[in-house]
Amino acid sequence: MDKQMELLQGTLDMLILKAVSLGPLHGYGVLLRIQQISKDRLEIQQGSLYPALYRLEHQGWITSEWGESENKRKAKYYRLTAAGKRKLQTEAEKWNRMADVIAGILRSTPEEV
Amino acid sequence: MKLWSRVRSWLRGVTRRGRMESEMDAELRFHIEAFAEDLVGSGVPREEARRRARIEFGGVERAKEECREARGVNFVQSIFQDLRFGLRTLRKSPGFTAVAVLTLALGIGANAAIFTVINAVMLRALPVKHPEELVTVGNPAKVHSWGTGTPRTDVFSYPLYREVRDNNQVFSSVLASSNLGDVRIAVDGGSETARGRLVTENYFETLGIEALLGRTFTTGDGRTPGSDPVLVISYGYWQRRFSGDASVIGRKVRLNNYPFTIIGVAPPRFLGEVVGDRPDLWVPMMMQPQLMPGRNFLESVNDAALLIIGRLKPSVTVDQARTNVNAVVKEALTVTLNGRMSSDDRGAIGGMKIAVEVSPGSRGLSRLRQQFSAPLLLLQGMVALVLLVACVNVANLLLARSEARRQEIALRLTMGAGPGRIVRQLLTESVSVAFLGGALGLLLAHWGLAVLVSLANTGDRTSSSLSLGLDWRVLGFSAGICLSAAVVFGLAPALRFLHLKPGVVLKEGGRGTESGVKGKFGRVLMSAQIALGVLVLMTAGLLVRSLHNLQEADLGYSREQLLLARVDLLESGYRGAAIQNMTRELLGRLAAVPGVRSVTCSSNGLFSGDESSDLIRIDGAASTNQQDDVTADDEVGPNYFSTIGVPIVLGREITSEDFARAAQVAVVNETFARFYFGARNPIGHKITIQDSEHPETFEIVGVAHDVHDHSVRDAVRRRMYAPLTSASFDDLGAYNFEIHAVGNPEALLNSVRAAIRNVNPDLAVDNIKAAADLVADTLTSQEVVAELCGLAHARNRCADSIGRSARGLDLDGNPGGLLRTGHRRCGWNRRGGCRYALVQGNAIWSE
Repeated sequence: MDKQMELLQGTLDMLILKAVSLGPLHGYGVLLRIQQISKDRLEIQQGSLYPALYRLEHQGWITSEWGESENKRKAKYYRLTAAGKRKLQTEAEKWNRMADVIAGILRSTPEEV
Repeated sequence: MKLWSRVRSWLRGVTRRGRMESEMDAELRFHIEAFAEDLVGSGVPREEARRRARIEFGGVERAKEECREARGVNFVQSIFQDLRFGLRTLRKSPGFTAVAVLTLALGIGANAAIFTVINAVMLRALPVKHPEELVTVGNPAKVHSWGTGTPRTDVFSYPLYREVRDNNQVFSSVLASSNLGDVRIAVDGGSETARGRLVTENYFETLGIEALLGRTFTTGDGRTPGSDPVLVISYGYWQRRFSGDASVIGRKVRLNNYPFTIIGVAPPRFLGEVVGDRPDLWVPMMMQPQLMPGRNFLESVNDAALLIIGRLKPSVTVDQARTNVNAVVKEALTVTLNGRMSSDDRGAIGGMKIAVEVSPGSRGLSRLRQQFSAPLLLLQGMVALVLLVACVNVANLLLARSEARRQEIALRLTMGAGPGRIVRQLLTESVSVAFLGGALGLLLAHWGLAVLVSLANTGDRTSSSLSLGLDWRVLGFSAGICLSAAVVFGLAPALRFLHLKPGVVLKEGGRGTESGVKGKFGRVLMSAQIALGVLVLMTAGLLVRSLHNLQEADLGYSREQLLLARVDLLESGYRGAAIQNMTRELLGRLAAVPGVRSVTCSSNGLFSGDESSDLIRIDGAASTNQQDDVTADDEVGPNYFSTIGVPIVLGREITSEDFARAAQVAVVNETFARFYFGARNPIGHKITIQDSEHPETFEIVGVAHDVHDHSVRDAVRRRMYAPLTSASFDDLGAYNFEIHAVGNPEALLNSVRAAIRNVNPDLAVDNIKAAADLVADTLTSQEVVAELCGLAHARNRCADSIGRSARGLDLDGNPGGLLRTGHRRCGWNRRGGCRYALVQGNAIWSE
């Protein structure tokens, strides 16, 4: 197993949006899904997950409702809203552009400068 | 959408705080437990799994706090915290709190009280269907005017209303109404009085008012005069007189001795279209002749008493309505109704510029609005000053207190509170004090208003009939002044702490810097307070002094020994010579009552609200200005001047001998003599009443001292007194008897009443009152108002109006509401349009 990387500042929101875009999840489920997709390579502070969820809900990107979990317990499920979907799209594009630019800079050789 | 979801989640967080907390709890617990389950699944022992789950999660409380912050709930939290802390601090110094709250309560209460009246009189819309569609036609202040004379366009005759109703193109419906004053109503025998309003049959329909019980009038109730003796009673009257008994519908009653049936009860919110009046009952216009036997106004173009309210057709503007109504009225007066007028009236109409007032009518009609607007605004200004004084007072208190709190504030500053936070905390305290004061103030206003209203009216019941309830406007206004007051008195003391140097203060320890307690700022506050206080005191002092002056004013005769009585013979069924005989008999009987020195009579009486005027010529010559030919006049019985106590300064008074030989003689007052004759001797000159059909000429035999016979405050007008001759007896049918008592006139009240009853128990006696009381009554509401107007430099109308056109001079400041029986104020005119009966302060002269 690779060593876990710390999450870059400001990316947790995007990851949460991505996670719930694949289907409604409760908070713990969000954590599990991010870990699963990242193959456990990202370290997420569990305590910081909830303020992020509340913030996203406050902003209208996701909504929540109470439902039943896999083991028949009451849990709060989060779902992406239409606005959240658009937000995720623009955030992802922004991230990819940024990653390209950064990667381009890092690849540059002395001759190119 | 995005904003909405934020507001929603914030509101959820704030309002359903408990639920949000428990949900948050459940959510986090679920997370930790699910995590622990998974750990157990991978082989970790249960206890160990729980421990690890909690550790990996991190601080639960911190997560919660961050969640709350994410919702924006914390800001509100901290305000509640401030509030709790503020209230605790206030509780700790009950003395300061009590004084500050009481001071503010008085200030805010006074403001709320006056504003409540302003709201009721000037701002509130009628509680009817779509009030914004209503327009008033005529002068909306002349709600109690009844006049006889040349056709008018400020109040309307019934035929003129009919023309407007049938020929306008702008209204979907047009109603007319007029004051009925007090009517005698007999329910199960006993007779009492109730206030009535005469309305056209479409009245309720036009306003969109449905009956609470029974029905309102329908167009079927107005087909022919006298055919529908029905009435609708107000909710208040129903409750008061019939205890809300539903069987009142169909009940037979007698109004002015004519049988009527109650057909409906109006809803509680509906108090009529006149703000400040609260009629007990409404009667169809077509019943007017039955209610006032001997006087039929329905077909007369000379008797004007109606105000018109129209409901605009869709998309018609008030301007369009004005143009159309003016065209219709002009056509009616110059063509349609012209044939019914006397030649003098036709001439007058020909020379008259017809301009009918048409204004937005959503707030209904009101005499009070025109009369009280200026003084009310002035009062509001004065109580605002009072509140300002109160604020300065409280600011001073706060300042003194804040010095004592320097330690506490300094400590909080050193512990990391930002200056903004400190100011916010102090302002929160101020706002709490202001709102405590405001709440108490509203209570005070509620009680105060009741007292105020009862002080402001004695004989006159109109002012007590305002609906002075709280509504959103009053509450909003009060909340507004609470907040502004809090800022005014709280901000300055709070801001002073911004410059506090915590280190220095804390080093001073408990000693404080007493020398600088008040400082320059304190002195400024103190001066402002004194200056404002003196201003308010001076204004109040001036008001009280001028009121006192008015009460003690010299009328020109002694009011102390006069008793006044008014008898309506026409209404009592007398006609022609019988009226004259009965008047003579009454004079004789009253003179024989022990304790009566002498007795006389006159048509207008003293302080009665009735006035009349005529166009005259002196020695056959007309003035260049028609205005100069108008004089006030009165018709008087024998020995009028000696009975009242008016000195004759030249010549002689009108005696019984003049009556015996039907002499055409007149007495004029000093103002009259000065105006027409200057330094010359007026005795022997001739006055001719201008009337093409019945010109009458009088020889001046005496000059009487100027007296105030209708208003204490107004300048004495030029006036001529002619004998109450046989010719005029038929016309008026209602007389004022002036009785000069040997001692206290009050003692004669019962014997005079008995004497009148002995002559004929069915005589309609309106009012028996001591002259002093009558004069005092005029002073209470109207003169206070006039005085306030004077202070506000708004006394333009009283002075100006004397000089207006010959037709329709408005004599403001006439005694209002002295005699409540509006309809009895009218007299038939024998001279084709020369007399106006004046009712309730709406005096109108005409030629």
